[in-house]
Formats: sequence, structure tokens, C-alpha cells
Amino acid sequence: MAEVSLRTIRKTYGSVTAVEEVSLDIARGELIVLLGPSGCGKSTTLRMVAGLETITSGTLLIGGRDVTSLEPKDRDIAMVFQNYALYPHKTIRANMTFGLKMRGVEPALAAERVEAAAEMLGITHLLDRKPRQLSGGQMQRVALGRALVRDPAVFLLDEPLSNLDAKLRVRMREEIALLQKRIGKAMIYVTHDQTEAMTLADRIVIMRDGRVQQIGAPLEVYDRPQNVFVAGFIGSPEMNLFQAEIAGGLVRLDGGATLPAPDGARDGRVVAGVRPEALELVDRGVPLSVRAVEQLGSQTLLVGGVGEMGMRVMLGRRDDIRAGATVHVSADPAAIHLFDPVTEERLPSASDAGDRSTRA
Amino acid sequence: MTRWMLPTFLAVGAIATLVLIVGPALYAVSLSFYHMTSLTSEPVFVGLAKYADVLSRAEFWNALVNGIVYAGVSIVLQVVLGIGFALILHQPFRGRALVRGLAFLPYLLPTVIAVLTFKWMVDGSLGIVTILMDDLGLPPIYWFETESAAMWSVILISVWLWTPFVTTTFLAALQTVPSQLYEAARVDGAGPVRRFFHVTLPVLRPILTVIILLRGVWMFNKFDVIWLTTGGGPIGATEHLPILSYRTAFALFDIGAGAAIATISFLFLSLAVFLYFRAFPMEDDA
Repeated sequence: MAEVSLRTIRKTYGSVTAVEEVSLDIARGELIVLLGPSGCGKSTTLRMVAGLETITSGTLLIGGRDVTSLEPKDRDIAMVFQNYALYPHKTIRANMTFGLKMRGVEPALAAERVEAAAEMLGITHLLDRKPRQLSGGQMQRVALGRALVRDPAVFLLDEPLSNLDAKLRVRMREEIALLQKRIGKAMIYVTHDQTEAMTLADRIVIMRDGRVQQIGAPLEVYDRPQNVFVAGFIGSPEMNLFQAEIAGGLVRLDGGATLPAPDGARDGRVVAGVRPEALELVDRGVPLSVRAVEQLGSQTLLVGGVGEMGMRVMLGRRDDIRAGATVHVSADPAAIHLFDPVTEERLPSASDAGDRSTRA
Repeated sequence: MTRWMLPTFLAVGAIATLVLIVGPALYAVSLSFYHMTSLTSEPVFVGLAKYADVLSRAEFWNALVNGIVYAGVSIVLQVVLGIGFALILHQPFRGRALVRGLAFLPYLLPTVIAVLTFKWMVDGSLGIVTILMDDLGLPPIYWFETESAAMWSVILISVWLWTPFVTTTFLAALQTVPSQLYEAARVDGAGPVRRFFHVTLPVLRPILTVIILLRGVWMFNKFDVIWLTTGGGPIGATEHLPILSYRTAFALFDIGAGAAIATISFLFLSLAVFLYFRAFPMEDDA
């Protein structure tokens, strides 16, 4: 049985639809990441699960119980906020105890649980300090701890790492992943950072303009993006997308260059996508005039153009290519994604046979 | 910026302060050591005699107590009502901007107009309040004629005039409380009352400290409301130190005693402010 169940949940503000019929089942122990650009409705969806926004229509079940119109405190959830939202005048201990106190948990038991959570997060030495004496990373730990002591059915995290610097973000990301595996509870995690989503999620829910675009495991959405938006959003550097035409087993890019077409591709206009890392240097292929070479250490990124169209190619480290050079690139036909130019939906190809990802 | 600019700018401020504030204050204090029957008469040095005289008068202690009651009760009411209105005006509702504007209006009215309007409203024969109460069969209230009613009347007018100050400053402060704190408290299971006491009040404590301090000092020195309504009467029931000081100096022509009262009032207020800051430090002890 699903721990959390969203059934055709919608949110409208007057005539504006913020979230359009989201349906999603989350199992116990599963980490779901809601991913999308700002304004896509991911935070609103999370806040509806939390009970901080009313649900316009649809049903929300947590632990099999209909909680659609319950107050946040009655939903068996705990939440971690982007700005930590620690009570500034309370000590860390009091911050972590507050929710338990409000629920009438025995003080001795509450103290025990706070100690245990603090131990787990390595913040025991901070318990008697005030929030403003803490660094961002420490405050984030406390915010996690405050959620942890409550032992809820589901943890809700709203962009919890976006106020941290890059290095700390990576470390906290790992810690959250470990913590989540250890406590084995359902978790819904909102972010706009696709790397965070890829590394943390059991399943990613990609949203745009209030609509779910695709739900799937990280590699599923990476390998088989359901539409042009997902194709462009997942992956870094982002996928090369071209207006093209399929004819005679070839993908003819509008600039005139050709790539091999995947098996089973039908003739006609398409949007063709190929990831920078799927492209490789060949003797004869698409001529790419290199405009810039970005050295990333272990990899080399070529930024260039094919006629009018921009193209990025990610190679293993190469020290010998200079800006201004022309190289030839091509890709395995199975690595070429085709989309309908009108609907922007993925066109089925032979490599999609094992497709398990869910269509939105 | 030349090296002369800083001293020059500072000098302008320092001279203005000396001439307009420090000088007159010192002059006023110095007057309390002299016996004078008018500001033009020959002063006779009497040392601390005026202070001894003033402190031995029952009317001085009466005025001190009245001042504390007047300031204390009106501040409590202003703060409680002001915060209450601010919380209401913080909620979203139709026409909120208009109501917010109207709520500030009393603060803009000159005291004289507010007081005269109030006096007309409660006029013994023509006042709208008097007539309405009579129509409802209620006994008349002698607003300024009985001792307890007079104190409540001046407090009522003061609260009406200056609650908007508290409402407006507190409402502005409310905008600064991060909304995520309220959301965290909701998730933690705190209802509206607990959210107020666990989030709003602690976060806004420094601002509230200043609001209460400002209102306290202003109310303790407030002269015009009482002067324009009761003039300190009946039989000294609403007479506080500023009124007593004025009456002593300019109605009884004892300038020295009047100055002594004003000086004592100033010292008392300074002590009160000092103790207030000791009790409610502005810097949160971390």
C-alpha cells in the first residue's frame, strides 16, 4: 500500500491553474523528487501535501487516511524549509522539542528523542545554542533534526539545500540520502537542481507550468525523456535539439548535415535530440566548427555550431582541439531521440521497447 | 570630502543641540534653585529649598501617581488594542488598504480637534453620546465632572488618538516576520494563539520594546489632552506633573517650584527608562 497517495490533485487561484491534476503513489521508504523550473508548481504541490495550501480538488491520502482537508499538524508529516525556519529566539533544543511539546509528548520522552536525533545528525554540541550562532549547514541539520524527532509518515523537503554553498550542498545531499535510507520513511523533495534530483531520487517527477511531464527513475528520464522539455531539462550540459527531417534512414538536420536515424523511425519532420556526451569524433559525420573549448579536467566540452545551429559535444579529455577548428561528430543511432515537432512528445523507437517510465 | 568638512558638519549639529536643547534644559534646571515670582523678577538663590517644598506637598505626590496611572493605563490599552488591530489588519480581507488608511487617521488629527469633538459628543445637554444614552435609558455619565470618570475620559481620548501609532508600527513590523516561521509552527502543531506567543511576539520583541518606550515617554509628558479637557481637575483628579509644573510656575507664579517639579519629573522618567532598559535589553542576550 502506498504511504502517500495524490489522486488528481489540482490547485487553482481564481482562474489561474497552478497545479493540474497530479496523481502519484509514494511507497514507504521511497524518495520522490519534484523537479522543475521555478513556477512549475512543484513547491505548490509539496505545500498541498503539507497542508499549507488548500487542495482545490482531488484527494490526498497519507498512511491510507484521507487527509485532504486536515490541518498540517494532523497529517503525520514533517517539513524542512528552504530558509530553515528555525525559531530565532529558541535554543536548538527548544526548536527541536517544540513540535513534540505541541503534541503533548511526555517531556522525558521528548528529550530522549531530541538527544537521539541530535546524535544521528552530529549536532549534540549545538543543542544549547541559538540559531543565529550556527552556520548554514548546521542550521540545515537542525531543521532536519526537528523533522526527524517527529517521526512522521512522510518527510517534506522544500529546496532544503539551495541556501548552502556548492561544496556543502554536495555533502548534505549525500547525508540526506543516507539518512533517508536509514530511517526508511517516505520523502518528498523539491528542487530545481537536476543534479540533486538525479543523485537523490528513487523516482523523479518533472513538472512544468503546473503539469507533470514525466515520472520515472533518474536513468529512465535521462534515457527516455518523454518530451522535448524533459529532454532539455535533464542532463548537463543540456541535450542538443535540432529541427530535422527523417528520410531514407537518416536524420537530416535543417542545416544540411546528417546523423544516422534510430531503428523504426518513420519518415517526416521531427525534433531530433542528442546528448553532448553521446556524440563522438568520427572521420566523416556532422561538421562542427568549434567556437570554444571548455576544459573540465577529466572531460572536454566543445561548444560550436553546425551551420546556424549551436551544438555541444562532451568528450573525454582532449588537449589538441582549438577554437576555430572543424571536427566531425556522429552518434550511435540508438542514442538519438526523436520528438514530434508539433506536440513535442517522444516518438516511439525500437530502443524504447523496454520503456517502463510512466507517461504523464 | 576635505578635512574641514567633518568637523564643520559636526559643529553645526553640536551648536544647534547646545543652543536649542542643552541650554534651555540647563536654564530650566537652574531656575529651580531660585525663588522668582515671574520670569522678569529678580531671582533669589534658595538652594534646594524649592525641592524640599515641592516634595512635601501632597499635590505633588498626587500628580506623580496620576501621571503614572494615566501613562500606565493608556499605554497598556494602546499596546493591547494596537497589536490587536494590527493583527486584524494583517489578515487579508476585502477593502483592507482602505481600512488600514482609516485606522491611521486619528493619529493625524490635531489633539485640539479630537478633544473638542469629544467634548461636544459628550456635552451634557447637546452631545450625541448623551442623547443616545438618554434614549437608551442609561444613566448619564459626568465625563469630566467626577474624579474617576475624568481620569477615564482623558485616558479614553489618549487611547483613541495614539493607538494608531502602535497599530501602524506593529503592522509594519509584522510584515518582517518570515512567513516560513508561521508555516513551521503550523506544521509543529501550534494554533493561532501559540503562533502569536511563540513566533510573532518573540520575533517582534525588540520593536515592541521601542514602541512601549516611546509611548511611555510621550504619555508621561503629555500635556495637551489633559490641559484641554479637564485642566487637571476636578479637584486635581487628573493633574499630573506637567500640569502641576505649569500651574505652579504660571498660575501661582512660583517659577522655582515649577522648575523643580519639571526637573524631578525628568529625573524620575530617566530612572524609569534606565530600569526599563535593564529589564528589557535591546540586545538579545545570546
